[in-house]
Amino acid sequence: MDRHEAVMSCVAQMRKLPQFSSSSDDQKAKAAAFAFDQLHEDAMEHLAMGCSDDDVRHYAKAATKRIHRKLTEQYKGSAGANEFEQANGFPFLLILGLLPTLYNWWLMLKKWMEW
Amino acid sequence: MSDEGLGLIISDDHEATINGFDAVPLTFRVKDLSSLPAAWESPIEVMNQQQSNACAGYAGAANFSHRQYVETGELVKYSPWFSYITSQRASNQFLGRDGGTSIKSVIDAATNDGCCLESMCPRPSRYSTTLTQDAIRDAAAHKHIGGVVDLRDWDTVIDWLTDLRSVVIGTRWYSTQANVHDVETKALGSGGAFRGYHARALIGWATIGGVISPRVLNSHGGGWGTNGRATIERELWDWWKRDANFFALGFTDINERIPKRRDWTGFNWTGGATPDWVRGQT
Repeated sequence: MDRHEAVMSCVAQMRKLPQFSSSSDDQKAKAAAFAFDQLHEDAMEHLAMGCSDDDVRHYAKAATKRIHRKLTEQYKGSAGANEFEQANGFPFLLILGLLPTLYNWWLMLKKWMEW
Repeated sequence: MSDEGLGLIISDDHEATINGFDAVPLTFRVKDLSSLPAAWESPIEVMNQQQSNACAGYAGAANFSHRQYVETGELVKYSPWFSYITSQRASNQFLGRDGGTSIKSVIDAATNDGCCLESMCPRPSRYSTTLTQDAIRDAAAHKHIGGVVDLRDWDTVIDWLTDLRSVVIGTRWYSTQANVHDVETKALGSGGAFRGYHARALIGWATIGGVISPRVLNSHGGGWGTNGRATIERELWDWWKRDANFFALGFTDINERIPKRRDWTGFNWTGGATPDWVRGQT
């Protein structure tokens, strides 16, 4: 399972949570695409080409925190998930919840690859 | 916010027509690849980063050399170490440790600092951030001046390469990739132990089973692949594409070096009468 599949799996898990039960498949797909793009942009600036596997693990942890912080600051003071959803077409809380889970999936993937 | 009219009223009939365009694919190939040669690549020299982690610098310098060859036919060896150290400086986060550098900082350094000749800044025997003034001055005259495009789609990359442009890629690197001979397959590109991320340059194309595919130049010396080069299989590319950390960045132009001047000593004009504009000149 690669990171993209991990994102999609996270979204699938999120569907079981009550606060996301009203979100459509389209919104969830957009949320996954958004998370993927954010990770890509972050890696362009902060992931060192030539780094070791240990560096990649540290990077993934830091990237998740950075994106989480960025989103939190960007939408600080907004009325909440509904307003964000109206403005951006996907649920804010889903993104916030997605990133730490994504990191856990990444760790699992890493362990799986080491076997 | 007040509701403002846009001046366009669409009837139901027109709306049905517009919706009908949904059936038309949004992206499609315009370029005809059938007239291309089966393979082409820059004859630029393969280099070896040895034990350093300067792959991004090597990919950046190869990109410079490739552009130079395409534009002028000159084989110029640019300095990977200069590209590596200036990109580490540009990043404000990697300088001081031989732990690699980011793709964005390679672009920033190529644009702001340029790249000097290999002879002016060879790879030191151990990690050092020292750059000479001569190297800095030479590099300043040879900057990347074109655009950079984020290309991850296979067809777009092939179009880009067959236009004789260059691409820098950043991909996962596995232990089995040391065994690549001429084709980098999915099995080789995803087997064994994960080693980290590795940057390389795409410098042309070759045909595998009738499919035009990117030709990659590695910085692990002539012993890797076929003289340091290999052809990337589409299945591997599609697998890379699903990774958020995968990059394929297309570069356009650089400030070219002045083409080598001809030596006119002893030249005899044999084209008839000496042209008026030559007369009187020494």
